[in-house]
Amino acid sequence: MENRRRATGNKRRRRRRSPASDERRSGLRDSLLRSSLDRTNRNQRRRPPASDRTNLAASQSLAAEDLWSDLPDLLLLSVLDRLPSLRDLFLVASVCRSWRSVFRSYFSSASYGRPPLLILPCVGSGAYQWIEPPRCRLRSPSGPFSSGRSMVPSETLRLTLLGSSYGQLIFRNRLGVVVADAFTGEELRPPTLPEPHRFYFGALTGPLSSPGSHLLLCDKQSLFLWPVGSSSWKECSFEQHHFFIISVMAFKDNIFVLSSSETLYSLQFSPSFGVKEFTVRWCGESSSWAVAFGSNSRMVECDGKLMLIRIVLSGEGIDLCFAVYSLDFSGQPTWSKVDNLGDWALFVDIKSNFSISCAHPGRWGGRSNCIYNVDREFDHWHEFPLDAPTSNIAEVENPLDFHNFSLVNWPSPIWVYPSMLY
Amino acid sequence: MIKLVSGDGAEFEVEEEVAFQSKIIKDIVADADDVIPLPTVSSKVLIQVIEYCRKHAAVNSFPLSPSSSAAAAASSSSSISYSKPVSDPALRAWDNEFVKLNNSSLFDIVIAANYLDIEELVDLVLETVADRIKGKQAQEIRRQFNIENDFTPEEEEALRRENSWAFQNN
Repeated sequence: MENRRRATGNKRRRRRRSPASDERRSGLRDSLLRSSLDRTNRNQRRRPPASDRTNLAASQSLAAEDLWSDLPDLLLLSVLDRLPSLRDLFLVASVCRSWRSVFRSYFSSASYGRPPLLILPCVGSGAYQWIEPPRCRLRSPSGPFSSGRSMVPSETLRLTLLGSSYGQLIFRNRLGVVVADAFTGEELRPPTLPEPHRFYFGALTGPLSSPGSHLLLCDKQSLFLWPVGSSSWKECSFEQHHFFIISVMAFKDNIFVLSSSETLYSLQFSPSFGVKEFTVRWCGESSSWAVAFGSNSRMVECDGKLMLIRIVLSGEGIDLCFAVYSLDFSGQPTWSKVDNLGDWALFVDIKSNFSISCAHPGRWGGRSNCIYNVDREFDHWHEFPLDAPTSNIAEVENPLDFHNFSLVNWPSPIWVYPSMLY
Repeated sequence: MIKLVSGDGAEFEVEEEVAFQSKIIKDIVADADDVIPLPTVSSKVLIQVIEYCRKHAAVNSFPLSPSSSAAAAASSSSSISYSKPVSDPALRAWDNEFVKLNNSSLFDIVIAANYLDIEELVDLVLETVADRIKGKQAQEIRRQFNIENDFTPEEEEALRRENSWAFQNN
């Protein structure tokens, strides 16, 4: 027994484990069983003395011992795993420092096993018309628990939405852009550009809190890049290309940019800022029909792979359905069709250029190997299982709504994970 | 019979199948004598753990009746379940009674069960804890589990902002 205890290591070391580790999920039960706990040791690692405590209410009730803040990490994680609601999770994370640090070290959007929330603008019967004052509700596919409201202020919601990335909404105003946290409403205003631009697209290349994150904006002639927190913009012109950017995705040291003709580019930072075409072959069936709907395609990272979600014609050639491709880097880069996503679900909306993947959807009552699509006019979503090729998107919505470079598509529902999970 | 000795020196003689609900004891007994010191477990907690093991050892040694396993299969699909649920409805009802304890007793039990590697008991307690957390505000959770609020007022304000979206109804 002594050996087993020693092998567990101390709490601090366990906490430093990789946050996104999926192995944690499958291996949690095993680790849990290995983690026999020496309570005597734990009780020696106590919080600051009473004089340092800032919360009077808590110190007044010191009669009973505070045991639960010292619950071993793996046991606490197992409790968190049993809370299907994002709201409950966030509350647990704000109970005390040690619980918070467990939550922050282990939970990321890729591993926390809950679906994103739907930001749902309150619109009138004619879509795209706000009910005044503009506001957005939040809905969760996992049940009624996590309803709430986005704290983005009305005057910001009224602006033109250029895109969403990593829990942030990117809006265009008269002088420049506003980046607003989709949940807390906290705003970031990059330096204004020397002259106004008609941006149609905006994306972040990484979470706002991560070093090296950039804000990318696009107008008809140029691409603009702002290293988050810096004082200036970089610009590159691509007049010769004439493309519309429809999706941006950071993946394995590259920042990929997808154009409406489904050409893939990678962002170059040196010697100068620009885009470079990244030649990708298509494997399997012809893509000609899909190109007609190319402006609807979007990239997503799923299960460690870069994937492309497209809308294609199928069946008798009259049905529209989703098709998923993954970028195969072995040999010449190739888009290979994915028939089965495994235990993953993808979340797609019309407006956002930032699609979301979620592992183990069965844990919240969702469906594996399935695309959750939300259309612009309704506050519900449709399931499109990849293994049921007959599901016809056109039956439930108008494919013409899918022009995600069209600025008209706001307000409309958007899937988002809170920025804290990135 | 196996003798368990609690941290405060109390001795408990239990049948093998009861003690073997703990995987760790099962491992130890395979290559040691039959007196097992459990220095980190108090006699008060050990009595409760043995009560649990005794009940589960008794139920697990009989195969399920067809009706109860069908009932279990029918009701097994709901929320996030971590490992296999206890399948016998009568045992589940007994478990539900067993965990009607205050939070500090539950803590001692889950620590002991984790230490002794009694998987079903760990699951049972953690499920109970999760149920007691669901739908509560942070301050209520602190009060219920007697957890000290060790955030500074500035940090609390930041947390309040971070969680504000969760408390707005439309």
